[in-house]
Amino acid sequence: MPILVIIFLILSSPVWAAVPSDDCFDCHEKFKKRTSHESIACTDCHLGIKEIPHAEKLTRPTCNACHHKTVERYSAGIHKSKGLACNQCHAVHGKKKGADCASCHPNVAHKTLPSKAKHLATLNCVACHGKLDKSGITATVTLPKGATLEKKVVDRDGNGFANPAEWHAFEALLDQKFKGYKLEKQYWAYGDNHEIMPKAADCGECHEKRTRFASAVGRITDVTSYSVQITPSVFIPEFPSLSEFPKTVHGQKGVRCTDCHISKDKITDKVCVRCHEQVYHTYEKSIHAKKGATSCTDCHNPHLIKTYKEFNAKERIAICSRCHKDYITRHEWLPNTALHFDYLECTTCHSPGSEKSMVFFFANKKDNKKNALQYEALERVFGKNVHLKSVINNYAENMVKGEEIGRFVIDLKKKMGEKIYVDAEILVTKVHHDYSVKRLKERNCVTCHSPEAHFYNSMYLILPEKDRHIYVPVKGTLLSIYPIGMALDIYLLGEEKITKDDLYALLGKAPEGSPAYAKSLGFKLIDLVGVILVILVILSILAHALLRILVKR
Amino acid sequence: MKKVFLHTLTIRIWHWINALIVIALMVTGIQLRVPEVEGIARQMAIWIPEYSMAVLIHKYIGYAMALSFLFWLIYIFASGSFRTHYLPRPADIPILGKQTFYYIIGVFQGSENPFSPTAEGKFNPLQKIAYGSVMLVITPLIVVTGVLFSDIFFFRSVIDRLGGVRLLDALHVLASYLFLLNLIVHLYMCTMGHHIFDHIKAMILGFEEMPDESPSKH
Repeated sequence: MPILVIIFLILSSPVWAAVPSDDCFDCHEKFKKRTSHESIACTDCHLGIKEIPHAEKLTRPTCNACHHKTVERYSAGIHKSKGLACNQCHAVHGKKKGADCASCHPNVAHKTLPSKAKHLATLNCVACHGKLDKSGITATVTLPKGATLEKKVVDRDGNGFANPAEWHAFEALLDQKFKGYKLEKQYWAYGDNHEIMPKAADCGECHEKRTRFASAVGRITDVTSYSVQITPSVFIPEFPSLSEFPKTVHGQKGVRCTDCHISKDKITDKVCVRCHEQVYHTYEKSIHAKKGATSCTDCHNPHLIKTYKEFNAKERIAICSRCHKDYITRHEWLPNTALHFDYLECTTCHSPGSEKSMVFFFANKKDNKKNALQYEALERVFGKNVHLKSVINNYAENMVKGEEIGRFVIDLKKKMGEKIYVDAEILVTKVHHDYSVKRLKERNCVTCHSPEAHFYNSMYLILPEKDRHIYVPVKGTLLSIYPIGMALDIYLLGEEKITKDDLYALLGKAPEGSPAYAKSLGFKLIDLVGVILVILVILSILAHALLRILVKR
Repeated sequence: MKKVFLHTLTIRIWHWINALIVIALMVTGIQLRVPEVEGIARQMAIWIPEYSMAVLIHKYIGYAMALSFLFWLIYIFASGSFRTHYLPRPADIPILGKQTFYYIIGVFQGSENPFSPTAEGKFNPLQKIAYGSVMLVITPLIVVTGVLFSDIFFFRSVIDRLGGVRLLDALHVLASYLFLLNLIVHLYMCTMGHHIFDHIKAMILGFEEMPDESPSKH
């Protein structure tokens, strides 16, 4: 290839041309010192000159012969259709004329662009106005000198992707432990300035369909540097689409766009309170409303398709952690902090007025990653349009029993493989909108780690049904009946601790008789036997000591 | 009276550090299991750490316990004192019965202790059984289960293979009851020297004063 280029250059050089360029300069002297296109002969562009003097009228030079790709792109753009020729931006003989956008479009008002300052500060013109070859977001984190951070801290579940919850937790960690770090976000877009679209890309291209800025990468540079893929919605918030709106919670309940979007003004709580009056008044009085999130939309996205009940613990935490970024470091007193946040949401503790429940769901373990089973997967096994509740519960009661779930899981394991199991989370199921409780007085493990924990009285099975998740109340406990492996991950420490009720039952009040009751205690017997032994040993030591004193030994 | 050297300086220092560790772990452990203790202690104006603090203390002193145990394990084998003092021998068997008889009946009749500790063997057969099981079975069990608990995420695969958090919890609690039982007996038995504080003195000074031939009568 280079040889061909050299041959082309040699042949096209002024020396070899039919009419040497030097002859042209005799009359057109000022082009002798041209700074552009200086390596090609005049007659390469000014066609039709066979001898000097040449004809009065020559054909207009075209750029197409050499720059055909650019010309092609250009003819698709708005500038061509407005009649702009190449030489209106490019000086053919002289220095390049400022071909940048601002030279013709200084101070564009961008009147209709929401969050104008933010958009203009981060994006270049082609990002919205051009056809893009490549675009993406790069977030570069530079740690303070000498600091290191392992990849698994960013991508906690190890799936190679940092989701919003993981990224927020990571930023929180940076704030707390890596003072002096730098986080630079770059929204880069490469396109050709020649192909500018008649209309700018609409918001949805970035905020909904993600045809632009569809990927984000976090580059963490410390002693060694590495990259992590990030869900782009971390950096570019998602907007609802009109076509999806009927599927949203509001849409399903018959709320129309214009019910809330009364004017062009930003929506305020006054709009929400029209329907959510009671919740609003509870929240309004709380400290959280006065100091932190002052409007409903600070936490709630009114265009969500999922109902709050369908959010798992991690998704719920992601809402709070948008502001409370340091939630992990603030809970360092909690042993196995990260593990707790896999099973709890913030309001499990910080909203005493809310009702909490233990919710069970079927999950699949794949490469150490847990995924809740979706309806589609179950449909494939149980047939189209299956009503799962009736599969699990033959008696058509409003409840499912622990053993019914157990039987169903054993069945599922046979059909879908050994990786299926029952998982559980402790979630708020009836929300009381006061989150002002900053620090629970009782930082007490036994609030939850005890057989008397309140959520054992309120247990639900989240069942994926067509288009919706349903909450089915669960009767009886699930944990002790089945082999350890099935409910491995839902054992709470301290669950098997002897209680007063157990003791009373043992002392003759159990209907099935004390020995049978003792047998049903399982590991709780350790407490019972342990305490009895301790008491016996102390008593015998006291007796021994007393005797020693009596016989003066 | 003769002086019998029983405990090296290393073991004496280790013993008292370990004692502090055990006390801290016992107190916080009981508090974690029975949080009502906190309220009772407050009423009796006894200082007791706040629950969340107790959690942290238990965790970090737990690490200290693990280190302390490791140190002891290495020391006991490297110094050869495992062979000298802990390893059961055939000669122990006949003394076993005598020793038990002495603790239950003999001591009240004023008979002499069938075993007297020397630098060549400081534990009687019963002590070998007790200390051996505490230090080589119960403590390792408690330390290993405890360390596994410190980061369930990290040790998940190991925990799953062992039978899950539930079994781990049961083992940790079981081991701590056994430990507590042994500790109670240990605290009482240390008063069984010729003088009530003789054994404790020995653990501070290293040697114990023994009567030359026959035991002195009190």
